[in-house]
Order: sequence, then structure tokens, then C-alpha cells
Amino acid sequence: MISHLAKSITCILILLLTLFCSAAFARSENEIKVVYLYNFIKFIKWPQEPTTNNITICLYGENTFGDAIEKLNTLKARNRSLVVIYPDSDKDSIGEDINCSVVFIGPLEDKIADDLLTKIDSNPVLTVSDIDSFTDKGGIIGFIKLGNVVKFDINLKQARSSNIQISSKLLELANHVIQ
Amino acid sequence: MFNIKYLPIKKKLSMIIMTSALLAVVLLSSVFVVYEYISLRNSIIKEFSTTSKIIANRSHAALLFSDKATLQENVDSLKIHDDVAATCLYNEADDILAFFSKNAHPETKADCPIHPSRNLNHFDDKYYQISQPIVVDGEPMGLLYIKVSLRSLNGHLSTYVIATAVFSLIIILAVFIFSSYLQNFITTPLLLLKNTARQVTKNKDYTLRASKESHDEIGDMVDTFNEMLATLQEQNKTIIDDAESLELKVGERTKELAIANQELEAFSYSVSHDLRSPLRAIDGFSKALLEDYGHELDHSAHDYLKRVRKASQKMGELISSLLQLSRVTRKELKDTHFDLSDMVMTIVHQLQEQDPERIIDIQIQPEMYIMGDEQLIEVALDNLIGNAWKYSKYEKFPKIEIGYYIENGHTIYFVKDNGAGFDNKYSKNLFTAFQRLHSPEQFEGTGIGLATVFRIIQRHHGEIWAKSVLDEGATFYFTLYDNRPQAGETKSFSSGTNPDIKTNTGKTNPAENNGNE
Repeated sequence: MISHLAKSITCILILLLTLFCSAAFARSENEIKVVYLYNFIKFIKWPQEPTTNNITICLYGENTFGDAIEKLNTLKARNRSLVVIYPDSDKDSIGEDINCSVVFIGPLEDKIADDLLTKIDSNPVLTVSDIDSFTDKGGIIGFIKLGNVVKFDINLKQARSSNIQISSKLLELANHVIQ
Repeated sequence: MFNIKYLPIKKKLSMIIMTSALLAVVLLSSVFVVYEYISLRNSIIKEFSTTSKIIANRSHAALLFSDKATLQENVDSLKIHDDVAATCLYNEADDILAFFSKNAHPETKADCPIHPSRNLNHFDDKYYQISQPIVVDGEPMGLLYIKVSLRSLNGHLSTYVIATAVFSLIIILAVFIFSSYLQNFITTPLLLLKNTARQVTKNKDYTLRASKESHDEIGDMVDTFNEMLATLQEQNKTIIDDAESLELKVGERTKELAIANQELEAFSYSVSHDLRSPLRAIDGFSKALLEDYGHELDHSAHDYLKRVRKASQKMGELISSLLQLSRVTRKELKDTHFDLSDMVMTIVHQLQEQDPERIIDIQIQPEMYIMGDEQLIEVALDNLIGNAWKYSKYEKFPKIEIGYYIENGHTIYFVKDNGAGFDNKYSKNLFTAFQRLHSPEQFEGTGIGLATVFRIIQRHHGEIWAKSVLDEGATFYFTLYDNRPQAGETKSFSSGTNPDIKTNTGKTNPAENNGNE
């Protein structure tokens, strides 16, 4: 009896431990994307960068990252603090008073996304999204998924027209670069 | 034991030059080798610190995005470098993200340390290890580790060392050949000088001259040496010339002397034979005339004949004395040890027998042992004691003393009488033949006796001298194989009975003594 109980307790303990470990070490896709977003900023150079200013990350559409994105508020990239804001994703006010350095477009209606991209046009804003074929539509970096691995495409042509410089180191890692 | 002092100058020079050259070459080569080694190491450090920085920088993005393929690509880019043994790329948790190893078993990751140091920059025998932290945006993200094989560096270095050694040897050889040739400039003149000096010493040939090969200190030495030789030659010539002339003179004198000797001998012969026989005839026939026809002759004829006989006998004595003098001069010395006192006693005894009526106080020092030719010494003493006997014949209390005393190590014999004496100013003429200080009427004599004594003492390498006060007696002193004490010498030691002191104490002493007797 007792041995059975001990056995089951050990089993439960091992199970719990395994779960905890997987939660702690295996990063979710979203977490990886947040880290990528953070890392992208390190290899991007905007025109006229005042060192004192924060880097504003504007998050449009549904927040798929959850709490993970909040971590960025505590981080710094090239000695500039990161600030995440969530502007209105209303039809009317969208794209107004764009003061963002980075724009992440979450899952949105294609039309709104197109409008947003049109509004941003060639302003020096890094646009990132995990919308399918985002780069083809005029976005600069688009996440893609090759099997289980998260990769990204880069639209260098758009980046150039927006006066955004992307480090060759980053280009080297891109799955596909549109020139 | 090896001693540098005994090496010839040539070897000394070689040693000095070769030691200096060796030292210089070894030092220079060592400096070159060390410099080469340090610069090679520095170039490796420089090269790989740059390379690792480039690779680290290129790996920023790949590390951030965990792109192992790109990292591997970056790491593999070092494969083309022959010396790189291994390259490993770590993340911050020291997990190996990419690596390559040229070792036999690349899969074992043996060349990648498990926890590499963050600032490795280390040389050991075979490898150089460097680690370069990868820092992105001020945040350490990983580490690049490169292990470089030093085989090619060591190979290069050993080639360099061998080349340096070979060149050093060539240089040393060249220095040796050159110095062997050049040192002749120093050693050749020295050797020439030495050989000349040796020849001069060996052959006593002062006409030789050393040849001057250089115009330095050695040249000066050669000049001085030659001048010295010239001086020597001149002096030698003078000496030889003098010696030759001297020898010539000696030869001449010897010849003259030999002739004179021969003449003397011939004279002696004629004196002894040719002169004596007519004398004997004169004396003999005078005697025969007196004996056979004495009764027919008157008184004055007798007297004349007696005078003829006396004169001829005197002449015979004279001839005997002369013969004795010449014999004394030529006789071979035969030294023996004998008692002089005995001899004196015998002589006195003979004189007493010839003149029995005379009473003379004679004092003889006993046990006077001397070394000399007995016959000649007897002749000398005969004369000296005979003189004392003879010149004291007018004395009331005649006294003769024979003895010796020692003064400053010189043994001096003396014969002293209290007879007629002589004036001291003539004392130098005493020993010359035929020099007489008294008339034959007073004291008869030939005038040859003291000359004979003088010759005998001279032949015994001694000295003879005399002191006298007129009418108070005379003292004759002589030494044998010894000098007389110098006139100015202070008398530090004396023993025996010095006759001078006795005479000084009082002239009346002998009279008193006799009176007591």
C-alpha cells in the first residue's frame, strides 16, 4: 500500500518537474518573435537618431505576444530605452500622428494593414509583421515559419526607400531578401 | 695545468681575436633570434586578435538569432588558415554553438575547452590560444576561442636559428682566416727580433741586425735593439782589441822574461862553475904557496897572501849567496806542516856552536806550528836569526826574541833583537840586494841575505817588514799566506806577545831582567 502511494507520489513529482522545466526552457513562438523584434532593432539604423529619444514600438492590431511584449519596456537597445505603445486601431484614427520607429502589425484586416502601409509609405519606420507575404505588400520585415523554425524575410527595396539601413549581418540571416 | 702565460704570442692574439669575435657573433645571433621570436609571436598575436575580432563581429546577428549554420560558416572561414588548429564559438552559457577542429577526431570537440577563459591570450610549447568575447550592444553574448598551432612558427624559428648558426660559423671562419693573416703584422717582426736576439746570444755575433718590418712600437723596439747591438759590438771590439794587445804584450814580456831567465841561469852556471874554479885555484895556490914556500917568504908576503885568500874566500861566499838567491827564486815549493820553534832552536844551536863564547839571552815561543816549504823557511830564518846574532855582537846584554802574535785574525811572526838597529827611513831599502846600511868593517855581510828572505816570504804569499830605532835594536815581522794588518785598521782583536807593546813599556826591562839573572 505504502509503496504504491510512494510510487505514485514520485511519479507525480517527476511529471510536475518535467512540466516546469519545459515551461521554463522551451520558448514559445511568440516569445521568440519578441526576442527577434528586439534583436532587429540592434541591426537597424534610422536616419536622424537622437540618442536621448526612446525607441517607440507601436503595436497595431491584436496583441498576439501577450505579456511577453511588456518585457521590452524594461530593455534598452543601443543605449535607447524601448517604449511599447498600443495606438488605436480604429479605421479613422489609424496611422495618424505616427511617431513610431517600429510598427508591429498584428493580425488585422488586410485592408487596414494596407492602409497603414500606404500611410507610412516611405517614412523612416521599420514595419514588422507576421502577416503572410508581408514583405511583398510593402512591409520591411515579415516573419515566416519554415517547419518549426521561425525565420524572416526582408524587403530591402522598401527599407532603402524609407531611408532605413539594415545591417548586412541581419540580411545574411534573412530567409529571402527583396532587392 | 693549462696556463695562458706560457702560450706563444701568436696563439694569445688568436685567442683574443677569436674570443671577441665569438662573443660578438653569439651575442648578435642571440639578439637576432630573440628578436625574430618576439616579432613572430607579436605578429601572431596581432593577426589573431584582429581575425578573432572580425569573426566575433560578424557573428553578432547569427548569435542573436541562434543561426548555427551562419555561425558554422563564420567559424569554418578560419579553416583556410593552415596554422589554426581549432576554432570554437560559445554562447554565454559556454555551450558550443559551432566549432571545427583539425584533429583526427573532430567529433570529440577535444580541442574546445569546456569553460574557456574570457580573456585568454596564452602561449605554450605547441599552441597559441586566444579567446574573444562577443559583445553585442554592450552585452556579452558569447565567446570565440581560437587555438593556433605554433608548428610553423617553431619551424620557421629553427630554420632561422640554423641559418644564423651557419652564418656565424662562416663569419667565425672568415675572422679566423683574416686574423691569422693580419696578426702576422704583429708577430712576424716580433719573431724576427726574437730570432735575431737568439742568434746573437748563441753565436756571440754582434754584427747581426734585426730587420725592421713595421714602423710602430715594435719597429721602435727593433731600432733600439739594433742600437744596443751596435754599442755592444763597439764595446766588444774594444775589449777584444785591448785583450789582443794585452796578450801581445804579455807574450812579449814572457819571451823577454824567458830570455832573461835563460841568461840568469847561464850566468848562475857560469858563476857556479866558471867563476868558482878560478877562485878555488887562487885560494888553493895561495894556500900551497904559503905551505910550500912559507919559510922563504917574509912577513909582509905572508900578510898579502893571507889577504888574497881572505878576499877569494869572501868572493866565494858572495857567489854562494847569489846562487842561493837564484835557487830560492826558482825552487819548487813543497809545503809541509812543521814546528817552527824546533827549527829556530836548531838554528840557534848551530850559531852557538860556531860562536861558543857569546852569551845571548834567547827567548823562543814554543810550539809555533806553521805551513810552508821547510827548506826555504829554514834559509829565511837562518838569515833573520843570523842577522840578529850578528848585529847584537857589540851589545853588552844581547837579547833575541822569536815568537808570534795575532792581530785582527792575522798571524804575524817576528824576530827581535836589541842590536845596532837601523834608521827607519831606510827600512824600504832593507830588502834590496847589495843595499847595506852598515860598513863591512862594522858588520860583515854580502847584502844578499834580506833580499833572499824577502823572496822566500813573497813566494809564500806573505809580507815582510821591519821596525827599528837606531842603536836600540830591530824587529823583523813576517806573515805566511796572509796579509799584514792595514795601517789604519783599528785593533779589534789581538793575542800573543806583541813585541811593540813590550818595547813601549820600558827600555830598561831587558837590562833589569839580565841583571836579575
